[in-house]
Amino acid sequence: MSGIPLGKREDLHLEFKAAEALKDPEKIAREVVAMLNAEGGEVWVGLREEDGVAVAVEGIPEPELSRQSLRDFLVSTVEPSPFPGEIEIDLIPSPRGSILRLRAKPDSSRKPYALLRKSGRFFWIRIADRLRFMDREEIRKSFQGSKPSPDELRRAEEILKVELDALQREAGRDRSGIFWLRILPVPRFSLDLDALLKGNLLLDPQETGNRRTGKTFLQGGTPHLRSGRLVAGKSEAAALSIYRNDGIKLRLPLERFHAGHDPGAAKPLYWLPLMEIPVSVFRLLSTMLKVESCWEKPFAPDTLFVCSIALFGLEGWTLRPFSPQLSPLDGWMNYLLAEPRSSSDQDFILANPLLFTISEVRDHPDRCGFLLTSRVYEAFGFGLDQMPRELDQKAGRLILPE
Amino acid sequence: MSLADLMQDQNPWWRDGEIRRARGYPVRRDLQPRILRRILRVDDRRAVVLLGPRQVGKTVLLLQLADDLLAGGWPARNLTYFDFSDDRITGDVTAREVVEAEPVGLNPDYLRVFLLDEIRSAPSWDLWLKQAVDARVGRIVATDSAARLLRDGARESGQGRWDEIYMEGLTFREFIQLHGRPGEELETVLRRAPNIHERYLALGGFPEYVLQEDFPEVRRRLRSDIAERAILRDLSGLGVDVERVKDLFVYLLQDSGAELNAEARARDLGADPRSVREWSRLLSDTLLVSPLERFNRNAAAGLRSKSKIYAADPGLVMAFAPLPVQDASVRAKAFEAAVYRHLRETAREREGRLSYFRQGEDLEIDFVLEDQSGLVAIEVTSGLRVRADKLERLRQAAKKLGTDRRLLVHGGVIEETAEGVETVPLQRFLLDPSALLPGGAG
Repeated sequence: MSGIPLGKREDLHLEFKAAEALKDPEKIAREVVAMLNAEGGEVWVGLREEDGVAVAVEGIPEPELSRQSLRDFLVSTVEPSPFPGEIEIDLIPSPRGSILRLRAKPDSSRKPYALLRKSGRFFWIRIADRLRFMDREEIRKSFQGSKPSPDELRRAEEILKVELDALQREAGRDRSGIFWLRILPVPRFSLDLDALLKGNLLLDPQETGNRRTGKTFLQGGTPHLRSGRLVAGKSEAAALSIYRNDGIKLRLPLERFHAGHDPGAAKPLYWLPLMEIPVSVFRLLSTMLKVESCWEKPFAPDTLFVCSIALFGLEGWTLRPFSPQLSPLDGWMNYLLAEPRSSSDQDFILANPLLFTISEVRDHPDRCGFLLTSRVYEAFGFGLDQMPRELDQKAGRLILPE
Repeated sequence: MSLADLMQDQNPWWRDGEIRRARGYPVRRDLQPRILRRILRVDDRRAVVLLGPRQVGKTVLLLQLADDLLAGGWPARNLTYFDFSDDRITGDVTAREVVEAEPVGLNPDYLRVFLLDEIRSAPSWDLWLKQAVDARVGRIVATDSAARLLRDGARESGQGRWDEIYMEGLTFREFIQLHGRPGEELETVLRRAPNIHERYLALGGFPEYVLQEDFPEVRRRLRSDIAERAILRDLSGLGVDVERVKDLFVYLLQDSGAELNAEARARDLGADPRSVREWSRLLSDTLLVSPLERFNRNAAAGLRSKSKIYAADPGLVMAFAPLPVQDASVRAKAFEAAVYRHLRETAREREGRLSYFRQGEDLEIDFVLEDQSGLVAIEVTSGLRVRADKLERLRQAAKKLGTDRRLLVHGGVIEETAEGVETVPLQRFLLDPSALLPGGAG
């Protein structure tokens, strides 16, 4: 039992939860968020406390399953989405069964962390052995003043809302399936669209680290300037738009994600474009961030990217978990045996956009794309452990055969 | 297994007329209806000999013919399929034995149709085929994977008795069709997969692999299944050093589109230049590489000049690439091989002649198509942007040659005509090369 803090008292860095807390993972998540916004620490699940002192070990039933669902819940509800190392969940064995230790290690450049719920973002902070909401001043300070102001964030969210409303109306009116991915910089940046047009980034996928044979943001057609944005695609319904100041938008017919040859379903979504297309967009942005000539004016080093994804007209569409390629036997069996699922909603809209920093997009574009895609899988009822495993977790790269 | 049992097994429709062997292959090659029409024509008794490299779908095409005939009401027992390469065959089986093995219940009002796969494995097949056509035993479609089938007098025997039809890997249009859902229009598939031509370059036109996502595995299988077997098995009986022929084959694929320098290759392989030329001719017979002669108005001079040798399919370039497939030079070779594959088809349709043009060090045109409508110069560049100097050299070379039309197929997206040169993106060209040539609909 070495390491289990029996007899110790809760403090700024230590919190105990009984095993039954797993029935309401939000309670655990807010403890984690509060620690991330403070100095970090450990939350132990499966330790009963009396007056703030850990007094007994309560083994967790199905500990591995609990660990996985808790990890999925945290990945879905903590913003910014945790990178490996920020939140670690370990199974700690004891004679009374295994318990969970969650270790929160905040990255100060990513503060403040929030808990996302349907009703909005909640910023908790841990003070001594208690937690409370952060006040406006604490949030502002946490953004260090140089970070985008809440007003700028609100403006970005307003743009997303306007675009999403228009798309939802259009999809409902035309009964069409639409895929939409949006990345908005906060504060706004200044791209040199003419330079981008002259370069090869929008012509050759390899220039942005993508596969030539892959499913990428490239949609054919000649890139051209239109109303202050660079458009690559043959029509508005299937095009990548790069705005001078307002980021990137990719809009595609949902048909583009059709698996094409799945006898088991009428409208099967194909895992490959779902994984690769969002990643390809972030790889494009990552490349742009590294190439000075893309910029009219240097971007602010603390720029945040507000990112959202939506799939309209999902009625009749299904999605299978996993992919058939991970290993010759396991991958295929998992893929073939898993039942495709339908979305519970007609439209999937990521209600709370994800926020990524410059360094996240520049250095880990694949992770950013993967996190957006994970929300789509979630909408079909699949956890992270049921996603295609082509994203190498260690390297943080989507690895597909070339 | 006795021949009778084998034939029952290969012709399951003899016992149940509803059985179809090609249900899993709903997409028909463009060639298929043409051959079906030939079978159904009462005024033409000639046989069809279908030639194509391994794994381009000849067997599937025969089985689809069988399905379509049965679906059209052809009496099941009047239809005989036989695969002479069936591993269960012990000893020799002649084509005569196959024809004489009549199933009970033939319908005398219909001709018999024989679909004979890998006919070269049948002893004296050419003699038999000649006699069978003369004796009007029925409609015959035979296949084989090597053009050398037609050497040594077979071609002479065949004159007026059978037609040779070449079947290569999938064209780009056929490749797209295989990606579509049943009944889906080509344009819809293209909207769904706008960069599908990149898949075509990477995978090539071997039908078995077109839906695969594991590209390295496809390349490995192309190397082992197609190339090794074609060379080691098909050429092993010819008394040549197959290992060195195989090495030459790899050289040719890695250098696809280059002139054959027999002397240099002979040095590399420790062989005589004459052997290298002979081996190269044998390799062309496997239909996995395709020679292209130099343009010359004097036919005799043309024969004396060096030929370029191309991989017959872009997938082969990728499979045997000495560099990572992402390398621009590898892609450029696959790009040219794809264009040449489509031009061969076009030249056959138009009964035209293909060559390349070279004068001095500077003036060169990758392909020259000569047919009734004149000469067309076709230059190929896999670059994303067309360089002005490339255009200018094409104009000069085309002027020297006196071509009627100049086409530049490129890797970008722009389509335009400027100063007498039509620049066309690869995808547009591959979709319908004929439409871009004189007399085409484009």
